Amino acid sequence: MQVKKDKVRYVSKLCKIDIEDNIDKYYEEFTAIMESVNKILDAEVDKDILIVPNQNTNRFYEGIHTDKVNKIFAKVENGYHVFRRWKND
Amino acid sequence: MYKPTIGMEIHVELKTAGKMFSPAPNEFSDKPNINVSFIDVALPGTLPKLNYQAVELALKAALAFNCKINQKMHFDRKSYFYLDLPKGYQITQYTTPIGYDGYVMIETDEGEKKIAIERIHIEEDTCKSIHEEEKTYLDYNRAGIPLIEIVTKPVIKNAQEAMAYLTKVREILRYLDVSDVKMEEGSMRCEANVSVSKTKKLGEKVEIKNVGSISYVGVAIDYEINRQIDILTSGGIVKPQTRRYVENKKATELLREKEAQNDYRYFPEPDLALIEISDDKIAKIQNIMPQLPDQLRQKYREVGINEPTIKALLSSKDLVLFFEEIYEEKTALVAAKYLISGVLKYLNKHNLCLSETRLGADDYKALINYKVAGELNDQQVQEVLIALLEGKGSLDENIAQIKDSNVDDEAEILEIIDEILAVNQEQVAAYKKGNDRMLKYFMGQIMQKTKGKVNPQKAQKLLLSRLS
Amino acid sequence: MVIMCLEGGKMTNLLDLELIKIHELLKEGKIKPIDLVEECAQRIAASDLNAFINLDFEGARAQARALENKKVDNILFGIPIAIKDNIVTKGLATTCASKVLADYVSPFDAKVIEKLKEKNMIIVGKTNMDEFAMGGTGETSYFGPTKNPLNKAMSPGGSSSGSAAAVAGGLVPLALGSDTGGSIREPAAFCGLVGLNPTYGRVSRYGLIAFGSSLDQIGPLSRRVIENAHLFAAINGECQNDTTTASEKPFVVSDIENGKKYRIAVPNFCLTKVINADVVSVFLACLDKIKAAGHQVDFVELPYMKYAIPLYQVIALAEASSNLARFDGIKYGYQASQYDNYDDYVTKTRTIGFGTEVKRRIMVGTYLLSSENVDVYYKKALQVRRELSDEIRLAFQQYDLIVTPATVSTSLILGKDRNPNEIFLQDLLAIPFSMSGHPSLVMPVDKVDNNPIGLQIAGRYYDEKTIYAFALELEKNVRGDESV
Repeated sequence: MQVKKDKVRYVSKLCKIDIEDNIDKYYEEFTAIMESVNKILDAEVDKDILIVPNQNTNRFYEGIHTDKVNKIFAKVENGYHVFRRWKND
Repeated sequence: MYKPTIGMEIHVELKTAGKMFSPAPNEFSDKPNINVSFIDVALPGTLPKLNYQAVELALKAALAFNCKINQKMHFDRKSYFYLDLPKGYQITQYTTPIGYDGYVMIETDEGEKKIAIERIHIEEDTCKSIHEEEKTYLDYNRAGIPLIEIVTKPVIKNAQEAMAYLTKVREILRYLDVSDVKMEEGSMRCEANVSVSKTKKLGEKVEIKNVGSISYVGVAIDYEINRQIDILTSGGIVKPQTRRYVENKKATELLREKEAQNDYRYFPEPDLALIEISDDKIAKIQNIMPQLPDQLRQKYREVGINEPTIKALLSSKDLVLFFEEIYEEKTALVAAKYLISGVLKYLNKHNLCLSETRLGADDYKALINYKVAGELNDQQVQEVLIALLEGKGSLDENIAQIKDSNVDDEAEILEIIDEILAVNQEQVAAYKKGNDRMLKYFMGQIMQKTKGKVNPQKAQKLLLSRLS
Repeated sequence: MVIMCLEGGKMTNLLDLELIKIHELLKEGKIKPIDLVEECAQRIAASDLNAFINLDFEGARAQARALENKKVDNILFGIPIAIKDNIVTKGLATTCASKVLADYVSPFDAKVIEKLKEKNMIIVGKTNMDEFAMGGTGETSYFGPTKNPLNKAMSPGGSSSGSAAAVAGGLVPLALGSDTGGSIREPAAFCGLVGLNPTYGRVSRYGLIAFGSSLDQIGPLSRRVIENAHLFAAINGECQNDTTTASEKPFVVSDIENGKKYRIAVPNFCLTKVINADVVSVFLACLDKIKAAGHQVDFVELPYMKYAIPLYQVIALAEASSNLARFDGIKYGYQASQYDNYDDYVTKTRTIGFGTEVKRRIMVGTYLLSSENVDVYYKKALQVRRELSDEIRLAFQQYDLIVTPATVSTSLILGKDRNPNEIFLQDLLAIPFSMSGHPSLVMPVDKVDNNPIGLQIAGRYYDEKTIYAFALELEKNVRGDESV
């Protein structure tokens, strides 16, 4: 499948990475990787999907404990993790 | 003629000790960022840990809503960026919801209706963000709290049905004890997808988010239906939007336009093991499943309890559990009557819940038996009940006291009867001509004279002997 | 043999000794942990390999001093170790070799770090790597490339570049790396070291900054096979914080049995044109030695191996695009300073914070998961993964081990422009076992033009003991009694 440049732009917005300054280079490399990726489309398959190798099932935890993580935040006001508010939100 | 079609999505916080994927406590707190673990803020290197209790509660709910169960299930990641989403994805269930193809029965003006449930899945909550003038405040206490999302098919036809559905769902969840289901505190939140169309093809749907109460949901849906019909009849088109209900305007307003299609990039969560729910597990949950309101309602109807009493009983889970504890078919009618006219009235008057009073189930049961055996009259039952609710003396003491003050001596009762008959000659004559209603009149007189402190059966027996 | 020097009554070149020798000296009280730490400090200070991102000699010295009153109770006691900088360490920065985490200090230790501390190992520093473990040469590091100690014009391989360079350069006796699709095994091959990618689920990933969650494993890098086994034994085992860990009985070194003869499978795929002729001839020579030692060697057909690269590109990059979404500048890490709104803030943070390779991989991964592609590519990849895994599992019903060359070629020259697929290609033979979750070890078997060439030995699930047993015998066979 051929990738269009607009699709690369769309994807960059989706993952919040600005590539406009280097769009051609990114597009070229993206296309090169997709050329390799496309080879998987040739594979014949008739099996179910495998999510994690060597799958365990039913692994749970019980009980509770608290880690007080307040201190990991750099900017705390009255206990809130605080940010300067964005103009347009 | 435009017909509305409504689908509902309900998010319900599960009542677990810990969070969905972290061991931090799942507790409401006024202090921000108190119940937070490294996992909840997505620190690099952390991994989710699945809370088994949440899976059990979700399973209970799925079974109660008559769902089929995905006995092999996994979690999926739903990706989008927002500042309240610490990992940049939410762990949810996309391809294998714990429950699917269920239903709930609701009562409508046209009788019972089956509301089809498309799916019930487990997911984690986001963190709470508060926007003020210049700053955004983030509280991760809510981040990771376990939720189930209950999604209906688009089968709801109007606001009344939507409200009946929500009421029923809340009632069931409360009985299951899987959630606090308090809409005002956000432990139950609902979204309505509303569309209108003249044809079978559904119209463009508008999502109404986070409405604060069931009645507001009704108002919001009605408003939204009318808004859409107005647009369409004036030749406009309904845009896919997310709107919110504004209480003081009794109207919905635009929150945001929906982008083409959100690209959530779902894929299976590789950090969590697969989950298998065994037949055994399902059987175990079914065994501990409490009787649900619909079953109880049916049972109460069969013993002849009237509808208002049933409704009043079922409206309070405490009350109905209490009732179930003392339930016996032959005393059910009387027991139900005094729960409403005595206990509930008292609770409402003093703004208490049952557990805050001193009334014990055994005592209540014994008291009702006294009444059924005819040893106490209505007024006496009410008096003892108040005493028991307030913890004034034991049942035996209260009963003894009533018996002490009772007019029990046959001669004394006959004396009173004779007095009454003497001043009511006309009525005696009427009775003798066959007017049986007079018996009731005489009994009333006796009760009045003795201030109710006479055994009515005994009094009637003596009255009849005098009249014959 | 290493010549130990006595300078002013002090033994030097301790770090060139085998682990067991160092242990004996510690046990006999002839040296103290601080002697090892000081030698590490000197060597690292004198080194120009750029193997470390952050060092903690203050902490290491304090720990070494504290150990002087304790009993030398295990072979890893008092031994300095270097940790790949994607494994979080409490109080010592963990950067993932990225600007986005350049100043990040974790408030907790990874599970493996806890385990090393229980053994009283001494962490001297965090090693350089490809940014977020994305790369195969170490060149994508925000902190600059690491040099190969065997030839400083060459890459030590990646992404565990610094860990491999530090061990191969004699800066530390042991190191931890991480492997997603060859990130321990490739640098082990390029630096002439032993590197293990354990069975998926053997070692807790709690505290390993995720790249491809269903592939990532932490593993040991060492000079000798037995040293590798000791370090692996220390870090493996079930973990309550990682629900993908196995409840299997943990590996202990005494599980290794000597003198057994094995049935060994060699995929025909190992002889394809893609693999460098020098590598193939060393490999074939090695197979002859293996046969001569009495093991059965058969060539087998594993047809799904040829999809290794696209398979890896789909699964690893898709998972990576999701795993790296948390770096948005909201909670920790690099934060953009000029911005208009949330969207702009996150975009600037990520655009400035991530390097080119990482951005490229996030974008490809995002593309592969977006709208209709998730079925076309991702679901297909999960199916191919099942086919490949079943194929390998089936082979292990008849064979004890599968051996292949470690890499497609010998080490790569630093500073060369490459096609973005070239780096992926090096891991052609490592990826299949990452996909199926089978354990595999790389060890040096020969050199061509002074560039080491490695052999990869894969085993059944949780059967690292057989891999080690075979590798110990082969090590003796190819290296004799000779030391580095």
